Amino acid sequence: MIEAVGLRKAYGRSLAVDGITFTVERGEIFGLLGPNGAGKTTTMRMLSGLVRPDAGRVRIAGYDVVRQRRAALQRIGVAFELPALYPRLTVRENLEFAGALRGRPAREVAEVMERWGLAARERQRAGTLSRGWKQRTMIARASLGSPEALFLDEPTGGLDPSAAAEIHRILGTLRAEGVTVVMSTHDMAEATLLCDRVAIVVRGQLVAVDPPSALVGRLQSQAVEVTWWEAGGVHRTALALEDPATPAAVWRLMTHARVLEIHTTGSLETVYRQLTAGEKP
Amino acid sequence: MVGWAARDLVRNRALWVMLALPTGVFWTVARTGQSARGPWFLSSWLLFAEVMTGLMITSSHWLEEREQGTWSFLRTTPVPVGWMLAAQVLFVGVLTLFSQMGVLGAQGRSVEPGGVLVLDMMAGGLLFATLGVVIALASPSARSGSLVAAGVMVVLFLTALIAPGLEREPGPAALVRWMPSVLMAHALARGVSGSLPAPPVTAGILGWGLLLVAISGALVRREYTRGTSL
Repeated sequence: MIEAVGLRKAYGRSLAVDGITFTVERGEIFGLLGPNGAGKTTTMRMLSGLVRPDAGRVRIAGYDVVRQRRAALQRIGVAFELPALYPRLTVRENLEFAGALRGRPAREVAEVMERWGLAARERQRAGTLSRGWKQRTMIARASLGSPEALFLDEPTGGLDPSAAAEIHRILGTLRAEGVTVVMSTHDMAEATLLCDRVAIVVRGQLVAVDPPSALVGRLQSQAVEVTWWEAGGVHRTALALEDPATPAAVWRLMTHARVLEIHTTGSLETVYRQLTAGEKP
Repeated sequence: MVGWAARDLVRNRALWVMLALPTGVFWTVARTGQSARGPWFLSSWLLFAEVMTGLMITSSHWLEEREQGTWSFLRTTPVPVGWMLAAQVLFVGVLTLFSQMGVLGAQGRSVEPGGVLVLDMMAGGLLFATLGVVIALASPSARSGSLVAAGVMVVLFLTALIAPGLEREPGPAALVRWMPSVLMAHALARGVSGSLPAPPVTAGILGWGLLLVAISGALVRREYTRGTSL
């Protein structure tokens, strides 16, 4: 459904994305993970046609996003930065405007509003909505016109757990209907729960692409994570099991510090920390 | 698309201030002295209405679009960016027409539909609305863009006011006649008396229009290629 090959983008001398290649299958929820500034947003912007890649290509449903831009954009919906809504227009008017740009009938707007639980807010001006409702309105707007692929930048960022769960539920329904979702997130629990596969981006390069469970199985067992209390603070480290120095390091910590936790089984978060070690959060 | 843009703009109180200001100021000034009867005086206030509404409304609207991220949303829809810009410029062009009609009305004049003056008024509105788009697209931030737009508006208006004197000066001062606001003031002054602008003035206005359209196209392409946004 989505094919990204050798994507590269530089801003001046700074290389934001360096040769990223991956494919996303129809009906898959694909997560992009990585530290701030790793290149996730630039990758999303290239995938959705907002930014032209310096090199490489993106195809959506077989259409090249640069050369067949209009055909490609007809097949996607995008919800990126907040607020990205017209504050003086109501929720309904924002959706009607988006529908008109895509040539969709008014009844489809009503259906989307119903599906996303926006009917009660239809007359409220978008500028007065809470963050959660703005987020929901943006994703609803992106889903107008039955797009084959959705690009969502941190769709549940800053939402309370129940609002996030509602968005997860609807994204699950869209997946069941065959809609492909590419989303960036910093929430490892969300990625584990929702994503069929995740890609971890570090310094503009993909360092791993796999289902969350496979990543955990492949990388987690190779490390031992130790959490300890020392000098008035909590410290944590992940040590490679293959490293001959690891047993001695663990022993030293156990004898010289107050070890709070030590384990070899864990979560996507631990894998993520291993793969992004040394990067700023 | 114009319908939703209209609703958004109509709910924007700043728009009403910008639309009403030229008429209000002219209404006051026109009653203070006999100089208000001269064609250049009227054309310079028509020009003020064009610049005020055309440049300021368009630049503030597009700066707001970019700052809020709705510009990014628009660029991910299948509608070509050029169409969206053209729709906005046309819409604001019509608004400038209303603002200028208010100025004419304040002097007890009416406008003949399809006449030369209406064409001049519309051409000026489109020209300065396009200039507003250029300023909004070229600005690194909404605040700096607003400052630039306000500064350009004042310079354009004041230049047109002092142009009759400067144009007779020898040397570089005479170049002022090629400023877009001075060209438009000349066209409006002739239009008030029902005459077509002189061919060099028409050519100058067309040239500015084409140049501004080309610059706005280049800025949109730069944003797409470089990935820069507010």
